Amino acid sequence: MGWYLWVLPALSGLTALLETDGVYVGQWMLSRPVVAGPLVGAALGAGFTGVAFGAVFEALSLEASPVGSFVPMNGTVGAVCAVLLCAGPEALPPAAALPAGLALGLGVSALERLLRDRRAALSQEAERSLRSARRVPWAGLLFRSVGTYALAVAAFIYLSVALLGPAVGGLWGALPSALQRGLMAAFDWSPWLASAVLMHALARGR
Amino acid sequence: MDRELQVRMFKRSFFMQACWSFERMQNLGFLYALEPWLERIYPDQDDRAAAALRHLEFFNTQPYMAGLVLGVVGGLEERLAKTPAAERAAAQARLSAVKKTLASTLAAVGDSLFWGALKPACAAAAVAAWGLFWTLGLPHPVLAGCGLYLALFNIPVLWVRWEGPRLGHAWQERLPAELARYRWKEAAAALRAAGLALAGLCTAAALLVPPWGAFSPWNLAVLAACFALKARGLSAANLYLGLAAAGTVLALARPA
Repeated sequence: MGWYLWVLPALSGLTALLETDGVYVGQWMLSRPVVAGPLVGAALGAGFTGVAFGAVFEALSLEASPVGSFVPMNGTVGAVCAVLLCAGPEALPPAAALPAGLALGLGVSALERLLRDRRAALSQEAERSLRSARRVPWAGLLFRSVGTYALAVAAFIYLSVALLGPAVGGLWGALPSALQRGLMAAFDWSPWLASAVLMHALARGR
Repeated sequence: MDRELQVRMFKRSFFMQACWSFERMQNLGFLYALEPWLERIYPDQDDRAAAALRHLEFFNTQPYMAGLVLGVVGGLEERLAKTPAAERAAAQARLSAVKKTLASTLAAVGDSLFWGALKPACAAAAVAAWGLFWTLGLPHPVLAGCGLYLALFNIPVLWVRWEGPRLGHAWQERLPAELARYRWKEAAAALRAAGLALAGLCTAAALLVPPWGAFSPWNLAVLAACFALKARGLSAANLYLGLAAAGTVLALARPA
């Protein structure tokens, strides 16, 4: 029970706070999968698992920068969810946690698009304040924008891991053996996929 | 620009994208960072509100380069405040045009330098640090890799964010020419070359002396295929799905 009451909420909250760095506050790169994945892994005593998923998700999201209105797959949430599914009580095999993390990274991006759509109201509120000779209520606007995002991401991670963990575990056991072995092979090859993507990004430039 | 103003704008620049929306992107973040300067330029509340309303228009650039735009715009606002009322509309239109042009030009520079070169080069450095620390059995490998990544990335970025408003204010219209003197294209190319050398070295070491077993031609084939397919425009996520499909086909062909 301690996992669902304390550890998972704490790590979901920590990840959500780190994740605000990705776009909203700072951009110090604390939110990159290559940082957040290993840190959450180390917090669970599974540093190597964190590094493995962090490096793979870094590669999977390396070339998809949040430029302009493009909201790419969220590699940080993907990596952290994969680490939590793998190193948590569900102890999913890494080969099952990797595609689950990918799907959750895509899912949180859809949530972010929704929140960005609703944020146009903040500009209108600032405009109303200025037109009525009042100061812009910056603290309220910033807190609502960043706080809503952090809360939404924390809830998304908590619910995904708590609900999806047992479901993916059951699904994994029911998969045909050939598909299981295929996903295991893909996980074993993922360091080479990550190396190829990293070297391609550096060789090509922008 | 005095130090107090620079410090206030530097701190506020970390919230440049805090209210990001599809409609006007970084407009609120830009106004939030510029506000301390507007307070100095326009002591009168109505003038300040009018200037702030103008900056609620659409704005988007690479977040680390926004400081340079802030510097140029602050300088133009200082001039605008001294412009006679009859010429003010034209000066405001010019300010808005300069702001938009600079934002898109600097976005291209920042995307190429920070996202296209520094970020992958730092990732390669982190992987090299992990490999080295784990291979040699050194303490705290996770912290070493993450710490190196964060330090290498943030030192130049924080410098650009700190100096951006001051340099933008000093350079004004000369900004593109002055920026070229920093040889940022050559710096980006050098960063990519260094990162590529490091990533290549780590990959070769893991291929030839794999910590998890003997050399396997399969690994080399997967690496070469992924690189070739990436060069043909396939996304990394699709490559992963392709690997899973290939693994399944192989498993069907060779039952356990």
